[in-house]
Amino acid sequence: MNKWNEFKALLYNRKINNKHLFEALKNDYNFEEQNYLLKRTPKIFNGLIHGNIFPKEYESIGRNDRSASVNLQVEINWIVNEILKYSNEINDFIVNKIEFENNLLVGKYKESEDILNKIESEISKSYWGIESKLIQLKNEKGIEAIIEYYHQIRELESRDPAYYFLSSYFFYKIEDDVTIISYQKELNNLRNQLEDDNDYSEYFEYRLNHFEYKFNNFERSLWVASIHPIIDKYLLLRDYIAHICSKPDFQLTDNLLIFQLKLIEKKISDPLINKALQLTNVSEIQINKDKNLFDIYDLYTQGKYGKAINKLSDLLIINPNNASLSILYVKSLHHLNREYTIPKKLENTVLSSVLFQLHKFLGRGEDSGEALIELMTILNGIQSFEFAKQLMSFLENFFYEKNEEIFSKKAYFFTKENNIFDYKLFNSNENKKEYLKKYKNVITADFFSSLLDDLDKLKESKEVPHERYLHYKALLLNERGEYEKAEPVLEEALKCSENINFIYEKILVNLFECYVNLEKFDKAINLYVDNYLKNSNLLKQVEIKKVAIAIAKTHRFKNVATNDINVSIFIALSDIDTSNIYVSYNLFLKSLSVKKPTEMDKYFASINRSKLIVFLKTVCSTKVLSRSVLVFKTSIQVLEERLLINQILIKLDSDNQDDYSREITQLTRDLNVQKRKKEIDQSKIYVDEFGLINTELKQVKKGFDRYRNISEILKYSSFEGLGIEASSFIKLLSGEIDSKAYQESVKKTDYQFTIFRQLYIDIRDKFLFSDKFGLDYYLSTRIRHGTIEGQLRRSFNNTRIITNRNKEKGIYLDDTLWSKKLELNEQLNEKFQEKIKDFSEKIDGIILGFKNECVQIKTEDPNTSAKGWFEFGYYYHTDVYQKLYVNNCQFISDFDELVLTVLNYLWELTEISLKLIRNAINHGIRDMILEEIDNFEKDMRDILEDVDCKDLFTQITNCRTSVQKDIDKVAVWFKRSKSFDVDFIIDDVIASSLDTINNIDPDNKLFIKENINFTRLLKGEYFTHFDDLLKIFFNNIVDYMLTGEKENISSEITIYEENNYLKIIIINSLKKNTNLKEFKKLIAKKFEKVHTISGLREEGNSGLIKASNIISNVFRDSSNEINAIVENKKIKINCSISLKNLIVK
Amino acid sequence: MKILVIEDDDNKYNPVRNFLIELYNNNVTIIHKKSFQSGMEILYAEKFDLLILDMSIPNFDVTELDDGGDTLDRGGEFILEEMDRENIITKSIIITQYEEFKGVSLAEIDKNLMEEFKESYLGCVSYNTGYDNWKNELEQLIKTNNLC
Repeated sequence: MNKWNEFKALLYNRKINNKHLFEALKNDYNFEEQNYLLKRTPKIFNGLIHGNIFPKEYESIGRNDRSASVNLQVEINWIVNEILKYSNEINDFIVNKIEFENNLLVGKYKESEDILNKIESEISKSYWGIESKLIQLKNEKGIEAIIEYYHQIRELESRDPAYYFLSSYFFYKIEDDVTIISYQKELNNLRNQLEDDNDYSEYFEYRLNHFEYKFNNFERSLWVASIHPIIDKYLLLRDYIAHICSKPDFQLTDNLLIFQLKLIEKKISDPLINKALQLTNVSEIQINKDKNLFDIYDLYTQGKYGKAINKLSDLLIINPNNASLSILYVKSLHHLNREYTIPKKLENTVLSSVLFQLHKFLGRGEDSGEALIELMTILNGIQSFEFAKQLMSFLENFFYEKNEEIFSKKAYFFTKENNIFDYKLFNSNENKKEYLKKYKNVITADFFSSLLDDLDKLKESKEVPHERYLHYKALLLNERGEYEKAEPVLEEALKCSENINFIYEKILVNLFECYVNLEKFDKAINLYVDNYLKNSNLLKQVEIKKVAIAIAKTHRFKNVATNDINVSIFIALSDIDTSNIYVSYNLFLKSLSVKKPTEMDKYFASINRSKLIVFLKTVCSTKVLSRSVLVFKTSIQVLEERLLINQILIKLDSDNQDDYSREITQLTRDLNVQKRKKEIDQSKIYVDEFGLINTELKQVKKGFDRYRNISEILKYSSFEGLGIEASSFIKLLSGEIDSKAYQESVKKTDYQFTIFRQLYIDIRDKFLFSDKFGLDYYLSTRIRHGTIEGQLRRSFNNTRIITNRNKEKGIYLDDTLWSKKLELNEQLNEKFQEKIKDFSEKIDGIILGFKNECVQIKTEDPNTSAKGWFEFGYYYHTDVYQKLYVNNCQFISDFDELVLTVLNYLWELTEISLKLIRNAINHGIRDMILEEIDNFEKDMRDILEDVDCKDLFTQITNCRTSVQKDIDKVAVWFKRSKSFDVDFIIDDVIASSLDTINNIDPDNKLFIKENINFTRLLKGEYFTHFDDLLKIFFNNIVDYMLTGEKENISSEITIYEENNYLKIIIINSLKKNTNLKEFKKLIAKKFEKVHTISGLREEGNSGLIKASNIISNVFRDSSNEINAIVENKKIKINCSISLKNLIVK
Repeated sequence: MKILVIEDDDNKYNPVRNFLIELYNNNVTIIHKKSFQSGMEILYAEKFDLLILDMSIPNFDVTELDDGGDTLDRGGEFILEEMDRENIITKSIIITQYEEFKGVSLAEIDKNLMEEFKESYLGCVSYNTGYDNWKNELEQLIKTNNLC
């Protein structure tokens, strides 16, 4: 009572600023005092106390003031008090939020829109509202509607810097082609721009990347959100509660939190709060006795899947927000081996898309990985939905079930009802049983309960199928470490689950683990390899690397049958060191008494074909082959062997012919480059482009599809898309500009360019930082850890004018040569030693500084070296990238072509850096070193004025001369590898592309009449493109003729120069049965498309389009031309290519 | 004394060779190979009293017509493995400029090699052109194993 009087006196004291008083109330009073005083404070002060927490316009969101400091407890106390005060509005919101989500999930868009509008008009606008509106529009009306809406809200002027960022990313995350991977990558790129201590970065992580958010500095998120609408703050608090209560060691011992939760529970009807309070007190849990739900559990447990499906079809419409129903629906379909069928009335709904992807994912087939990404992408789009959180929780536990640290309990918290499966969350068998007891007369509960007892005494109920008991029993025995007992049960369970992949996978993982624990390695290997050949997706959760290491290193292959091809396949699949793969390969070849794979041909018939293919494809890599001692004399012989292996593979495995053809192309090019090289390649600058293209860049393909789709949409829309203008946004957050200035500075960025930027950054990062193929890897191994110190110190060492350092003490050692040779007295010797050590330190300082700081890559990522000389930062050259996009990339319709163009551009950037580096070495480093030598010489002349020391000065002079040669040599290292940059004549490229065609089909060689009248040298960087171009034409020749007719085909290539243009004419006859009229039409149509932008975009994979792309875009001259004439049963392709950019000057 | 040195970097090989000549008072035959393959080839053909090898070496000898193939980050280790499999027992010392190989420290590798190749592996010397310690370390390893 006194407290209120005291506070009231302050409140009505005119000398006291009320705003400051309420700030003090928030920061200096404890929770109970606040609660007590706020209840009594007249409503008239609400605006001053809480600010505008029910904004009616978007512009008003965040127009409040924050506390000066960040404190977790202060913010939680305050939010809880606000929630208690506005419990009516929050109750309304919770009910409506669930209703909105239910309706939207099942496609009742009119209803969901009405509810959303109701929330926004009757309660308040909020960030949740903006996010939900975009989700609504996207599903109801499609991408054009969301672009338009986004455009509108971006026009508004908000005082809250988070407004622009959140709205951009709410928009971005629901686009169809933005996978969760590219979304997170883009977030990461922008996060890198924010300072580490920026409070917003924490909040954005929470709000935009909720599934990954770890609540590490949650007080900062709370602080940022403290000025937001109450709706957003309530959602934030309940996420926090779910997080706190989900920790594995969580006990409700925090009295204040219990007190606050209990207060909230009294006023707010939110199942999440009840569940938080009940988690550590099983006896308090009240199960909602929903007969429908119990029936579903039992139908499933009893194996009555058809009935379960029928009942679930109805329930999903009524209660779509309970994700466990969706999971049971999909699992039931799999039990019956049924294809996905859309539950009635759910066509074209979000729920149906989720069920479809979930069905594919649990099918664990080839498309399972892709389905998982699609599923997570959908869930990411609706990450604010309770349903999304439950399903993410299921997916997380699917992979990490055994890891208690990351076992997700979100499904428990965010499901309105209690689920029977929640018994797993309780930590003791007693608690689990007590929970299950609440499900009276439910067969599933009795079944789960029986498994908690001694498994040896387990009595099977007739109502539950034997297979279900077997499955659970097998897993539990293995989990308890009773491997001897588990082995036969798992083996039987595996046979029983052969058609139900998501169960089969689980048993398989456990059986493998069981075999390994019993040291039955051959059984484990056979299980793995045999299943790998059937369906490799089922083995993604099997960790084989450790097992492979145990077999290879600990047991040295002594306890496995190395004459079995399975062993080497298993070792190769384990991603273990190449040397171990080589040993297993070598042991297997020895068992067949052959030295190389191509000698195995006599055994081919007796080896399982699928295994032989994996062996040849995966085990017999060039890395493994090249380890064979006394088999191959040069690396060229290794490439030739691999080429022959690929030719065998084409015959054995025609389904994957394209993969082998691509490798043959690359091998042929490598072999031809080796032949063309006239000198030893001294460059140490290298990127394994083939490795990149065939492995890591495949992930970027999805982003390219989005790029093409968006460009199509924008082409036909009347509005301009706005991109996220990162640099101005960073300035806005750091307070450098206000929101008005921000809006003005936001360029009307071509949205397509924004997407291109992301694609570019994805490719660039792989090019630079791939730990197997990237530039930094090679800089590290070939330069930083290589010979740079040795090379630059060589002359100083040889002339003995510097001394070495003692490693432990870090000090330079005395010179032992000159002091004796010059017979210096003690005083002079002291001065001499001091100077030579000082000189040594300076020289090493220059060399080490160069090595450690300069030979580094720098991008906009703060983790890269700030002083790095390899400059690839995106934000430094935005305009340049726009030019790259406009001039070279915007019309490219083929992913491979785009990759090649971007890689070429990255090489251009590398060339710029290399030029600067060579210049810096030739001048900066050289000048610094020479200056130090000069100073050293001068100092020595001063010190040794009266000493005969000609020898010393001769050596200094020698060093000065010789070190310059060393510097020249180091500078040469910083040139792009000759392997990919050897200048060439046109005959080289004809030979290469013809070789490739004939290597792909060696039994049926193609001969072309050549009329070459062009001998000028072309730039090495264009070799690949010319090779691609000619390969397309030669492939066409093969396509236009009948099988087995190659040698009879009349085809010729003519090349000559005319007015500084390279003219290429290819003529070949057509198949005898070609309908000339139709063929002419087809060719004309193709060329029509070549000359239109949309044509270029549409026809991604046509050879002609690719050829046209190369001629127009890659060879960089708008006057370049390609056309075709059909006459006299022949087709004639004419190319005219400007030589301006291509000729070596 | 017959010593095989497998080292592709002349700037490192020359000081090592000079040091060995000094240590053995010129009473030593040093054979120099520059790659995994050429090193293994001669190890199959001839016997050596001591093998000194770099950790990171090219697969094949680099020539005008051959870029040597991949550089083997842990080529020295592969040679020891191959010798072990083929029962070639030659006392061996690794001499390297690296402090770690893809996250594995040299000390750790040294320890593992010591356990794995007890009969032949003598130890590892950390080479740095700016320091003198490698000479002492190498000398100590040679002398404590009665190879000098």
